[in-house]
Amino acid sequence: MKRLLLYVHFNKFNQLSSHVEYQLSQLRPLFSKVVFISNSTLMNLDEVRLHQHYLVDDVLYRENVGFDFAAWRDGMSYVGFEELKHYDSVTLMNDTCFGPLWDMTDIFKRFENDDAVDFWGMTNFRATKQFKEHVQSYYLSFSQRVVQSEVFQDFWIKVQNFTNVQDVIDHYETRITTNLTDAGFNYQTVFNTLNEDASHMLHPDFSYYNPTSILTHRVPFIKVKTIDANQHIIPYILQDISHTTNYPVELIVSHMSKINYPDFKYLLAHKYISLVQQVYSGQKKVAVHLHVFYVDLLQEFLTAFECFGFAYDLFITTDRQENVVNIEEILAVNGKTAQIIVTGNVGRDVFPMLQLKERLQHYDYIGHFHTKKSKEADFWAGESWRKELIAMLITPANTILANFEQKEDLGIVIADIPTFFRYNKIVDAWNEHQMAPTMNALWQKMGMTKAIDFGALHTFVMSYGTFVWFKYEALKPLFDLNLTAQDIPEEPLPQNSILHAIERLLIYIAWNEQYDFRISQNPIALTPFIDNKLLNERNNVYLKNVGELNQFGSIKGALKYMIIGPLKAARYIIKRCIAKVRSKS
Amino acid sequence: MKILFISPTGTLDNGAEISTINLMNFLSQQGHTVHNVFPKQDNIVYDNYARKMAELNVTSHPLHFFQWWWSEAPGGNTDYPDITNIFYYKNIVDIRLIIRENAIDLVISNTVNVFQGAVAAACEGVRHFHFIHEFPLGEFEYYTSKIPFINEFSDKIFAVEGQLYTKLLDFFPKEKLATFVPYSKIERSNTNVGEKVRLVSVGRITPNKNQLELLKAYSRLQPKDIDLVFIGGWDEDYKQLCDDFILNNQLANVSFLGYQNNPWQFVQTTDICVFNSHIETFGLVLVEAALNGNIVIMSNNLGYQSVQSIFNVGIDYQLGNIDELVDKIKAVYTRFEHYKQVALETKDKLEVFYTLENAYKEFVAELSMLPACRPKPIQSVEGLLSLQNVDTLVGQFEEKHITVYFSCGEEPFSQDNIMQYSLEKKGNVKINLPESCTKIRIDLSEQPSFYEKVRLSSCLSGVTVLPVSTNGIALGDAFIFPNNDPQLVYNIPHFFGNEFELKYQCYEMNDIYSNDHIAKTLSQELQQSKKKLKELESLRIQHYHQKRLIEKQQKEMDAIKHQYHLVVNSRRWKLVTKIINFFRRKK
Repeated sequence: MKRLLLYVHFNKFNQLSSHVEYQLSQLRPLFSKVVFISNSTLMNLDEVRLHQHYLVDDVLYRENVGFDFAAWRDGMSYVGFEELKHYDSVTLMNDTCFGPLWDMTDIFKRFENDDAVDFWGMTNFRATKQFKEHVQSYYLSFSQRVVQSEVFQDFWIKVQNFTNVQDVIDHYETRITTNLTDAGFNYQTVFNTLNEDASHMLHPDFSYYNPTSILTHRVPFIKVKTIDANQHIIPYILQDISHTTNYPVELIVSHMSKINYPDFKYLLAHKYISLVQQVYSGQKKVAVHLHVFYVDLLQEFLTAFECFGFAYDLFITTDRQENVVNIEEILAVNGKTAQIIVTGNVGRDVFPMLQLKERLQHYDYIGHFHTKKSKEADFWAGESWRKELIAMLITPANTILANFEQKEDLGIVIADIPTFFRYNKIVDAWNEHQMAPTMNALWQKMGMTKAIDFGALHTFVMSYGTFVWFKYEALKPLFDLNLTAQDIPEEPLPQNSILHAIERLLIYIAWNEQYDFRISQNPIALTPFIDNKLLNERNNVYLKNVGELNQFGSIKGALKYMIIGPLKAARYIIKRCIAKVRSKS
Repeated sequence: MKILFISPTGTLDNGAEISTINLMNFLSQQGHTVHNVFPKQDNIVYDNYARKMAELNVTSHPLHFFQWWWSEAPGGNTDYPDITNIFYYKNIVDIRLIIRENAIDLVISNTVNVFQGAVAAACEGVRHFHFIHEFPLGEFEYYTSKIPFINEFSDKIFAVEGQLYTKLLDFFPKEKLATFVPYSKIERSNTNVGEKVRLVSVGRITPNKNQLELLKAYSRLQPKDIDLVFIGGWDEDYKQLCDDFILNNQLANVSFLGYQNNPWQFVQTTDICVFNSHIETFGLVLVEAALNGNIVIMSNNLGYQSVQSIFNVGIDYQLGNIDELVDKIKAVYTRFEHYKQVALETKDKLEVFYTLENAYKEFVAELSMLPACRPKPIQSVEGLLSLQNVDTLVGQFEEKHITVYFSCGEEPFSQDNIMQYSLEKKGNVKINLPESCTKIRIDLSEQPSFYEKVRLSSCLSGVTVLPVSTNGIALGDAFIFPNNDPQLVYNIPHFFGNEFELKYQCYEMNDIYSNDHIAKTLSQELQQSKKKLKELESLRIQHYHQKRLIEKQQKEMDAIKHQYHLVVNSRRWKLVTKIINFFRRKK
């Protein structure tokens, strides 16, 4: 069979997603020629890799106009409308799906050996008031007899560069099917949805609203958008994919973590760091930064560092000169060397780390730790917190570095929530909300490209205590802020300071830089009933009264909530009533 | 004078060719224009030969051939009469064209084994001479049946002086027969001074050269400390016989030096050269040995006898009579100095006598008073041998191959890693790739060819693999290869597996009544393309006019916009609007 695949790609960050590469690797053996039409740009290395692995034959770059239909038209024009006729089949698809979940050889055989099938797809859409019955356009395959027909050629030659996606749907997605069926051609789909029960769905669009049926009907592709749209059941969908297919679920997690917020609940379920097959090679440059405020705790860290199975350069920062002699003594006893830098008592452990920018930027992997105590809270708060952080980030460092090495897009590894925060309600959505303005301001200052409003988030995924392993590039914008001592409030540190904001921003900065994060699991297992009890303490759950206007952001926010909101609601109800009365009369 | 030679082999490795090349050189130096038609051999041999011709200022006319000699001649093949005859025909037509285009005065066939030049010359009414080097014996006995033809189609026949000439007098009229002496321009090398007497055999070790006879004689010699040296390459089977003999007779002082570019560099002043051939046409090696001042003992075959009778060279023995050979060697060995003196005297005489002018003196004389060209009967039907476009006919009969070249990694394609399949009009070929092969090249024959469909498919998935490059013109699945050596290059990613099927179908070229005939198919496509082109031209005109129209309308629009802004921004308009707005009930 001489098959042609016209594959349309678009990535708003101009990146080649790992799921796209996987998709091409699975589909490539089925096609004689693959034309990769990109509505965005690709890094040169990505294009070279695609060619080297024979995943594509040609890469065609075009301006992002006219959506995928115009891109397919340009792909056909690139191949040549006459030349298209020499292929046994022409398949159109885009990168809006994950898959193939199952081997597609049998599907090709089934449809291609059936003379009654002139073109085929994955799912169809039943006729509604808005649309006529049609095959959904994320995957369409046309036989040679269709490609050679005038109706097919005429349709594609006339495709325009619409700027409104609804125009594309109205004019092309439905009409490619209807034009062909009107000309006497027949289609089939892997999942014929025409007679399926769709009463529980807003629209009879099974590929979007019903991912469960996609799996049960063994459709090889699941739409990216359906993952976001059905987050309440996605944990089970992913579980099912993992159990019943060979598709690597981490590709879904990786892609979704980049195109939308990286900390959705269904994504967090896949963020624990795992053992990887290959051990860390020891080939990278590793720096360990330890901020020593309490010299008496230095020995505990040096002992913990003994489990590092790799070479590293140790940078120790401390707040005052007097500590240096003591630190050197302890280092000597342990037979260790380190660069010791006195940074002053500004910015706790974070500002000292940022001051090491010139040194750290030359390293591949960086570990950041400090001699954690909690003077303000109970002794056990600091004690348990530190020990658990060591257990989560220092003891398993070899595994963490192996993960860094194997997963190119892994940029940062944080610790799981320490147990003290699970026994005691310290993190509160309302308190966290106070941090949002500073976080938003820093986000702007760093010139981030991804949009996020931290005020809209209820809580943040963060490394409690800022213990962290990271790749420099993942946190580069933070270092590039070039903060000075004047930017940091003096001790005693107030609540909601810039340092608290930075502590909460880390994984989001990495996200902006197209890096994913992982969490190192707390070895102390606690039943989630504890969380359940904590989260459901009634005395803590109350609607903030009107007096606390800061909870709405401003007086304007409060007015919007109390007056404008009800007014708008009333107007809507009245309008609907009038419309109803008119329609009946 | 314009002289056209028909060469025996188009190579530089045999006496007849060497002698002919020397003659061509001589004639060229004499001011004649010399052309040479020869069979085109494979690349390296051809390149060397053509280079030699260019050096001698001889115009080369290499011809594509199937068989060059009579099919009954040594190395000939009678299994494929059609293709053989088609090529003979083509070669005759080719030579006729060369004669005509170059206004050739004389055609010379330089071996008794070829006839194409004789026929071509007869058709064109040009004189033809035949040079005969071979005795009509053994493998060349066949040509006795060709003698009437040679006699009829030659204006003069030159035979090697001596035994051959005498023998051929039985077949040809005396007035038509003349003589020549094969000439080899021998490079004089400084003969190495030897310390002890050795027996030396120069020449390829083959059954005809009969070196086993020398070994047998050598085994009977006393004392046995005399060295025996063989200089020359060998036929494996015969060499094995020699080795076995040496082993069985425990001969200690025998050595083989293998092929040497200049064997005489390895011959010493104290060497006795021994030649034992069953059959030789002349024996230039004898002349070479004598010119080096070596003592020569040789068998009494007719060729050697010719040399002996002309130059008084060597001591002969009865072929097969090993006792006599032993006696002759012993005699020379015991009176070495005497025989050496005789050899040196022969050498001096030979150096004076053995020149190109002397060797070809009868031919040169004939050239100076060229006889009138005798009309040949075939001229009456020469039109039968004048079809010029015989290539198509040749293409049909010629055996063609599909050659698949394999490449692993970055290595280039090479002849060492190929598979060959017979090319039919239509076929399926299974190709198994060697391990780690990443690229293949498929050569569909070696000549221009035309395919309605060529598809390479993976047996694993049935998916067609497309070529990454070709030196042909791809028209969908069809491929047109207008030049020699058609090639299709494919990348083979691992996921296509290592078993492939090549399906191909040649265009119908012969049956002009067939609907699939190449001309019909391509002209239909051409017609459709022309129709499309017409449509496109019309659209191009429309496009041009519409572009101009849009530009014009754009200008008009700009002018209207400008006027509009002038109005709405005028004080009169603004003031009136404000007053009206003030009184408007519904805003």
